[in-house]
Amino acid sequence: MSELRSSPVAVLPETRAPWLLAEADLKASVGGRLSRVDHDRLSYSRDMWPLGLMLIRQGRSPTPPDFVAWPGTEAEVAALLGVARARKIPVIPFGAGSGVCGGTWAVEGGVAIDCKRFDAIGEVDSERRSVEVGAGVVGETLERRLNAHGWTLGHFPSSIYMSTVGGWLAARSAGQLSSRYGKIEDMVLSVRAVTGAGQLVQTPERPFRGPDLAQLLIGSEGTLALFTSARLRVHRLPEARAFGAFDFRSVADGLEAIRQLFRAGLRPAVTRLYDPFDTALVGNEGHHGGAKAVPPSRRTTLDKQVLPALWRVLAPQAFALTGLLNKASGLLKKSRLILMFEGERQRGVEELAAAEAICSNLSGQNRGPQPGEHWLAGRYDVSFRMSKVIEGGAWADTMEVAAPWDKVLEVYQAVRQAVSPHAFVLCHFSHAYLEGCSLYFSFVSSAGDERAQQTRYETMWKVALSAAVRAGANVSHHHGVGVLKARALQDSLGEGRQALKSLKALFDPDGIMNPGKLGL
Amino acid sequence: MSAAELRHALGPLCIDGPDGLWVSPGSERALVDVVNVLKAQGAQLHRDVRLSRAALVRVGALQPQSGIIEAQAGVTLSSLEAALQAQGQSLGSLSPAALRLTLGEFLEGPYAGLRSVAGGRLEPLSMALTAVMADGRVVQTHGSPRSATGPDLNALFLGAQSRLGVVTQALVRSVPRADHRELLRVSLPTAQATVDWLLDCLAEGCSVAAARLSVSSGRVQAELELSGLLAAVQRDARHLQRRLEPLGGRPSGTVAEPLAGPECEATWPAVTQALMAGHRLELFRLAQASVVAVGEVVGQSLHAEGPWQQGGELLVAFDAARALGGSP
Repeated sequence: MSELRSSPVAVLPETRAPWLLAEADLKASVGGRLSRVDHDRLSYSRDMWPLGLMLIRQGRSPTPPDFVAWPGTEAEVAALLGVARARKIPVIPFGAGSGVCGGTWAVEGGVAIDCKRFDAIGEVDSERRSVEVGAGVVGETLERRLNAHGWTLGHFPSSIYMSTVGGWLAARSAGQLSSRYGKIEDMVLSVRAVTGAGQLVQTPERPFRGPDLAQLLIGSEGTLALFTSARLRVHRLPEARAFGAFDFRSVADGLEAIRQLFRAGLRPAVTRLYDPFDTALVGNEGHHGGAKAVPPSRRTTLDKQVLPALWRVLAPQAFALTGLLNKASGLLKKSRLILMFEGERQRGVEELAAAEAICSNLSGQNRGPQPGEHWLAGRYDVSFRMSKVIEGGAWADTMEVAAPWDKVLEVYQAVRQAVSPHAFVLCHFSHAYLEGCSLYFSFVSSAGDERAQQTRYETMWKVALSAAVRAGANVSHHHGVGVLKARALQDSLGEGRQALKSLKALFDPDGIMNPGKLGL
Repeated sequence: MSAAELRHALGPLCIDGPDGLWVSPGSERALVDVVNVLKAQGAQLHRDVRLSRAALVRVGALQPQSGIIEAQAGVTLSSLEAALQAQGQSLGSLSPAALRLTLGEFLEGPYAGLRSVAGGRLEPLSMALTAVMADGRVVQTHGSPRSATGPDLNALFLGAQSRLGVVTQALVRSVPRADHRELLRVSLPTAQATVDWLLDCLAEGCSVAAARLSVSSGRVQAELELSGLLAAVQRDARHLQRRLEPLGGRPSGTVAEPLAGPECEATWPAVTQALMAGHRLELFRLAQASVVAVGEVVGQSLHAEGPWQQGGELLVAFDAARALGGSP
């Protein structure tokens, strides 16, 4: 990470001279919708990776793209890629910039391709229960359109107001209700994409013979192809919801409850188990007055509740004393589980009753529906502003990994222990499956100056990912890899590295597609 | 290169069978040696020498909390099921023909290793795979329930008929062993109502192991087999019955006869069409995307190898020498 180049915001580097020669061709390829003005380049220079926020606070920007393009058809994308290939100009597919791993950073400059003009939403095919959606459609727009006709996609990432279908596909996104509806890769029937070789690919729907090309393109983070549309599975809007919340004596008991729920055939749409400190800070919220839509200008739980609570008792500098803070939090034991079932009303009632029996057997104390209702009301509290934490000289970040049930507790403890000297650690467990679940860590820390802060940030990530992988987790469950986890991914792939490189050589023979991501 | 030359080059790795040369490697290392010989001789697996995975039948220890178990690719699904049953687990509802396959055949063949899970989604039976590639590398994918770590490299092997890599073992997902089985016999007024009913209930989480559908007296007769843990089966049965009446359905006493015949993968519109034409069907691995069907229905055969409908270009990238046999 420390090798990443940056520039003062006020003095962006000039567009590279050899690429300036291609400007007219690039511009013509996309019907004139190409820019190299600084405010466009600056806007597309970063995503929501906290390292970018730190750089901005320092008055710096990650390396900006040399151009920004807004193609509106697959032919324009292919033409643009043709020009880029001829000149070896990198291209960076860009959705809405909500990623948190630097997946859209133009580490070698090039052309940022904004995909939001691919904004068509087809009619729902009620027989096949699916809909064709452009890659540039923003999640909230799609969900509202589907809801108006009695359907839902069932995909609710907390970034839903500022992420696109193409971005979801590129990074293997997960929504908050994934335990019921699956991750985005589970919802895809087929995709359309333009590969780095300029070829249009349309993957078939089942049944078909041969390998599933869609699953090789999904998650490729723009390194192989640019998605233009996808056919996605839709579901009827749920008739009702049923909420439950339970306090357990320990994280281990709470995890065992989730495991038993899923092994018993129950499928809550939401399962969120907060570790003891997270429970102490956000688990004891009062009644929220029922579910209501919350505008996206609110801050995340971490920003809005956890950090202000800590701020009240601790100066930012205290986050440097992370070991002490983590030791203190270790005295807490209670762990809260929130459940939400949705679908047919009676089924929800029956599944909640079955869940209550399992939780009760594990000595879970029933806290009623309110904590779950409260969570639902604030589920889109996404920050659009620079975190006060970073302005105050500290930083906060999140890491999500997944592991089988036999390893989950070990991963939790290993990461806590490894990161403890470098950051204050919280964790919740969500996105559960029959075989395991996701662990979502939040890290908060500070250091004396900007250089020390960045060093500490990089060290923290290194030890956190190493500890997680050593204990049996993967590198990412749903945030993706980007630049942030590229090294860790490559280390974890083993001989799979060559397989990934072969895919790269096939779909992007000139190596122009989003260089530096996934370690490619 | 003659068969004799190839036999000599393969040495003890090779077996003379009544239908030609065979290799039966007992480890990834041995399979790598075979692939290297084939490349050196300009020979091809499947064409010049056939692969048996009969020596790859080890089944590892069940990871009790996660319900995952490591198994080599030559083990038959029926024997793996027996091993799991003995430990309180099961592979879940698979079609009869699938259960007769080896794990490798199920993962690499037209079934593409897919099973249906609650919600009517399709999911690979395997959580991770080990495979020998044409370049002699042994790729082992990570065993996570889900990932966001780049392209899913398992997709190189699932359904790819061992042309991009030969699967040698897998980390297999299991479910708790069923302790209850229930048959639900109903009739519905139309084919579309029947399909809507099944799709709605699958989406809500009902787990239907099998369905026998026929047309009699102008109504669709459906016999559903529900199998699983007692509470879950009873919950699903109540759910299916509640959703029946709004669609004009009612209980029925008609007992369906089992159907014999080849299995194919079919879409739900194809199922609807078949019922409208009055055909009898038996459905397995019911998912929203498709079903495995026996009966007169238009679908993709799950028995014969055939040309890929996509992904042919992958052969160029992964096996330019066609050591693994090239396009089937």
